[in-house]
This record gives sequence, C-alpha cells and structure tokens, in this order.
Amino acid sequence: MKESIVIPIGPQHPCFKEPMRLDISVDGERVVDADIIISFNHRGVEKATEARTYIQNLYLMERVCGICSHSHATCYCQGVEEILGLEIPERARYIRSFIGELERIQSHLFWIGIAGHEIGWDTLLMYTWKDRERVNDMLEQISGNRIHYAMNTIGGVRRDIREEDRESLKRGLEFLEERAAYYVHVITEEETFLKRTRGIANLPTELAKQLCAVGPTLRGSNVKMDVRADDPYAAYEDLDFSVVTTDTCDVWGRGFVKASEILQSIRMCNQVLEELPGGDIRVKAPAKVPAGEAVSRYEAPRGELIHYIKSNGSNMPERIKIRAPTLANWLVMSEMLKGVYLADVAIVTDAIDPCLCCSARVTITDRSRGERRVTTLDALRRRRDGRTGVA
Amino acid sequence: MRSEEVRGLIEGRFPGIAIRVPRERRVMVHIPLERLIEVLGFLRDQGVTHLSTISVVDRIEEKLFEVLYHLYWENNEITVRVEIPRENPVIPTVTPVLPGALTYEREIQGMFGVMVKDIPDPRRIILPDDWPLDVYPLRKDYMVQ
Amino acid sequence: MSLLQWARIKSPWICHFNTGGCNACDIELVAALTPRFDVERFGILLKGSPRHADILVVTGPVTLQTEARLRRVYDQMAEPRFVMVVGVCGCSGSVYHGCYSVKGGIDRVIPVDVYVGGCPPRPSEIIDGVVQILNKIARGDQAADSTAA
Repeated sequence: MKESIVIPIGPQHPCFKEPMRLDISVDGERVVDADIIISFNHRGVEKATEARTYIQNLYLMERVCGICSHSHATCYCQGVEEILGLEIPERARYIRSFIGELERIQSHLFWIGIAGHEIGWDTLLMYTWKDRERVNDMLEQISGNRIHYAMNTIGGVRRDIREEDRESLKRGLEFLEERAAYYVHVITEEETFLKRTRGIANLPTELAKQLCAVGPTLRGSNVKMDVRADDPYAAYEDLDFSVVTTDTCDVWGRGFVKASEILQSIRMCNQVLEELPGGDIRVKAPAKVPAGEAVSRYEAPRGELIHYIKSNGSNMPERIKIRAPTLANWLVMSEMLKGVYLADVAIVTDAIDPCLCCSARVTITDRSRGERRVTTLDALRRRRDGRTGVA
Repeated sequence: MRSEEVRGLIEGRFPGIAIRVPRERRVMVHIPLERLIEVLGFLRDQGVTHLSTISVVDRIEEKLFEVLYHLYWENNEITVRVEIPRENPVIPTVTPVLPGALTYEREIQGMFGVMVKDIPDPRRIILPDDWPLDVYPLRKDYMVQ
Repeated sequence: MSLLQWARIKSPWICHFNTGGCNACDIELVAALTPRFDVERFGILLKGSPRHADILVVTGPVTLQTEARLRRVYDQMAEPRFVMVVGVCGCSGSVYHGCYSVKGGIDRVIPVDVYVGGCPPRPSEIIDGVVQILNKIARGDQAADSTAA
C-alpha cells in the first residue's frame, strides 16, 4: 500500500491573517488531497447582527474583515437602502466607488507582496508594502483612518472628498500608476515570478464555473464575471473600466489579473476626481426599517460579496446573511491543491488571496509508521529551493 | 438579459409558479420543496452555473425555515425560495445539479440544523470542534447569554 | 544592566498569533515590519516559531476554537516571555463582545504585559507597545506570567 502522509498546516502562522488549518495528504512530494478547516475565526457575527440596531451593525460590518471593510459596509448599506427605498445622492455614490477602488488597490498590492513572500522573494514584499503606504495615506487623508475607514452610513457617506485634497490625491494616483505598471511588468517578465507560478495549480474554465469560484480566481480562468460590470452599484454604471481576464488558468493568471486590476482601479479613481458631481453626501435615513428583504452584491477585492438582508419593521434586522468571497473559493482551492508539489502549497493557497500561509509550523505525521516529525514552512522552502535551483 | 425575460422563461416552463421581479436584475421565485431539484435542473440546463450562496431564515412563529438559493445568471440574481417545516427540516442536496453548493450546504447544516439528505460531505464547516452536535446557533430560539 | 538584559533589549523577537480578529491589526503589524516603519532597525524580528520568540503579539478576541491553541502556543515559548495584545478586541472583546463563539479578551486565557488599544492601532502605536516591554526589561521587572504565579 502506498504511504500517505497528512500534513496539518496551521492554525498558528505568524505573519498575518486568520488562523486556519490545512490538512494536506501527500504522496511523496505531490499533494493528493487537501482539507481546509476554517472554524478558528468563527465569531458569530451573523447572530450578533440580530441583536443590534441598523446603525450599530455598521460598525460590526466593517469589522467582518479588516482588509475589505469598505466592501462589507457598502454591501450592507446598499441592502438596507434598497429595503428603505432610499435614493442616495450622486456624490455619495461616486465617493463610495472611489474608496472602494482605493481599497482594491491596497488589497491587491498587499497580495503581490504576500505572493512574493510565499515564493521566497521578500524584496517584492518590501517594495509593494512601501507603495501600499501611499494608498493608506490617501485613505487617511479622506477618512481619518488607515484601515476601517468608517465612510459609509445608511443613506450615503460620512465624509466628503474636499476640494483642497484633490491635488494631492491626484499626485498619489500618479505615483501609484507608475508603480502598478512596474508591478505588471515584474509579474509578466520577471523569471523568478514566472518560474514559480506558470502552469501551477490549473483550474480549467469549466471547473471554475461549476464550483462557483469568484473574483480574480474566476477571471484568471477566463470567465468574464465582475459584479461591477454585470450588476453595477455605486457609480460603476458611469465609470469606464474593462474587466481583466486571462486564459492561462494558473497561479500566474490570478496574479496578473490582480496586478492589472490595480491599473483599472486607478483609471476609475482619476475619473471620479474629474467628474465628481456636487451636492450632498447623504440623506437622512429613518431608524426603523419596514419589513422587506434585499439581496445586495458587491465586487470586493477578492470577488463577489453577497449580503441577504431581511427586515421585520423594527430597528433591528431579522436576519443578515453574509457570504464573503473567500468562502466561495474554498472548493476550488482544494481542487487546485491536488497534484501540486508540497512546496507550492503556500503560493497556491495564497493565489486565491485567502488570508493564510507564511511561516506556519508544520507537523508531518507518517500514518503507516505512526511517526511524527516536526518541521517548519521555512524548511519546506529550503527543500523547494533545492528542487528548483533558485538560490 | 432583462429580468422580465428571465421571468417569462421560468413561467413558460413552470406555469403558475410564484415569481416576482422586485427591481431590475433581481428575480424572486417561490416554489414548493418537491419541485426544487426540477427547477434548479431546468435553470442549470439554461446555463445557470453560479450559486452565490444559500441562506436560511428561521421563521419561528410560523414554525418554518425558509431556504433561499441565490443564483446568478446573465446579470440577474435569481433567488429560489423553498419553505420547510421547522420540526422536520430536511432538504435534498442540490450538489448533483450545482456542485458548488457543497460548502453552503455544510454551513447551513451546522448553523441551522437544516438536514441535507445525501450530502456528499456531512462534516460541519464553521463551528468549533467541541461545539455540541445538537445546538444550532443561528436558530432564533438559541439565545446568546 | 546584566548582559542578558542587554541582549534581550537589543533583539526582542516577536511571534504573531491571530486568535480570530478581523485582520486589520494584522496588516498594521505587518506594515510596522515593512519599510515605512521598519521595526527591524530596533532588532525586532518576526519569527515563525513561538520557541524563538521573546514577545507574543496577539490580535483579535479569543474564539472558542483558538483558546486551547493560544494556550499551547504560549506554553511553547521560553521564559522570560512577554505578551502584547494589539487592538481593542484582544483587550476586551470589543465589538464582538457577547458573540456566542467569542470568549473575550486575551487576558482571560494568558497573562498579558502590554495592551495596545485602537481599532486598529497605528503601526507607531504598536512600536510604542514594544518599547513599553523593552522598558520593562530594562527596569528588571518580571513578566506578567511570573508575577501571577
């Protein structure tokens, strides 16, 4: 009988993001099966929303995720506004899109850095994170916060883009555009990146569609689906952008889509600054929401985000269902892991941008002999480097 | 595709079905449980492959669970709704029709105790390992201390 | 100042554990490690293994599932070990207070030396938190776990 080794990775992995565990069965260096355990981060937010008022829930929604806090808050507000039948001012719609795109830029820069880290290329991590600070500065300039911008409220946005900020925001976008073009160049030309990502973890178009993948993962498999284009919200109906797809269906494709989307986002941000309509930034919303329901969709940096909101006429919601994009990508993630080298597990899981990886401790359990060996991802990286010959 | 066209398409195949279009790009379909696979199969044959998620609403006063399948097709969010009795909450698995439903079926099974018949992988996905097996936190009668 | 004290002040290595937070504190912690804030110039280095670390940086409220794991990670650290909580969730549970799967602040599971408030705290505040611990070492104070024992 063939020896099958199960390698649990996680839940403690020191760099970033949530605790989660991957149980990876390997045959030699090849992964044969992967199981993902994500319960570590379960806090019970959906239940908590039912005991809070709509305004209190805004704060909770932002804290569903720290990287895409604007996404959750916007998605939630849109749903509640739909039930209320509230038409928000034009200017608020543009500002929501502007912040949403800045958030996408910071999230994708974040991803490029982490991807660099996962393939043992920390220089890229330091580069992108230095540039990412510029986005955080811009967000701070508008909202007062680097993370958790607290821009949304039911009926519009809480802070305006001031006239005197326009120039420095433009300069910031100019800087980012130059850097983003450089990163697209790095991803398409740099051998270090290409060798570790081309042809790895294939996800054929049909499989991606069947397993309901979302976001850059899906677009990297040549499916043109983007909520901003298909089901426009905020100001996206009036903004010009193209949906980036590739047909390589591998890790590289997912990275290329993300890097190219930064350029599209900058284009949209510039357009918002040019065409920002005047007027109010919010309308007053009643505290009580009449009975009704709404399905709200949003294209978060990681893909389609969907909130289902049901109200019962009081000032607290009856039920809020949140489906974050990462959950939609679990199934494809375990599919993609099958057949890759153990050393590539880090970059493959990171390719869907799940909030995992880094130097987690790894326990190797040899089932047939009942042995336990303990190693770290760093040791795995050394094995990988020996294999690919990259110093 | 316009939402009215989607509505026409579904009504053409299933006459008398409860269907409404609250706004453009949203279609709400309400069907009895025994037609669930049939309707989803029909939609699949039309080209619907993307299941966004499955939501459950606990309507405790009416002793019902409402199960909603949020599908996405050609710019339309199609919500298929079925109602099941609260004392015997069983739904058939839709994974033969929509393989991507597995994650969400595992989720609702753990969170609501809505049992999914013939589910390929019955393990819970979200709750902690030592969470009691018969406690479903998102039900309305589960109170937070 | 003893040689050991001096060595500890010069190289406070940290290990990071997210016990169920929303990632905001985690990205601010990483931001502190990258060029703008660059804590490496103070000898602060992020380590993968808790066995190599002097300071455990914990973010997020303790969820039921991570409680035992947090304890285990903490037990693996060599003494003297210091714990720094980053973010208000780790201090008290904050916005998740009362959620069924959340136990509360970090100090309900392990002893804590320094609390850094904020949602999320800025990288500069995180650096300040580390400096508090360094002051503690310089004064020759005991870590929180030894005083509790």
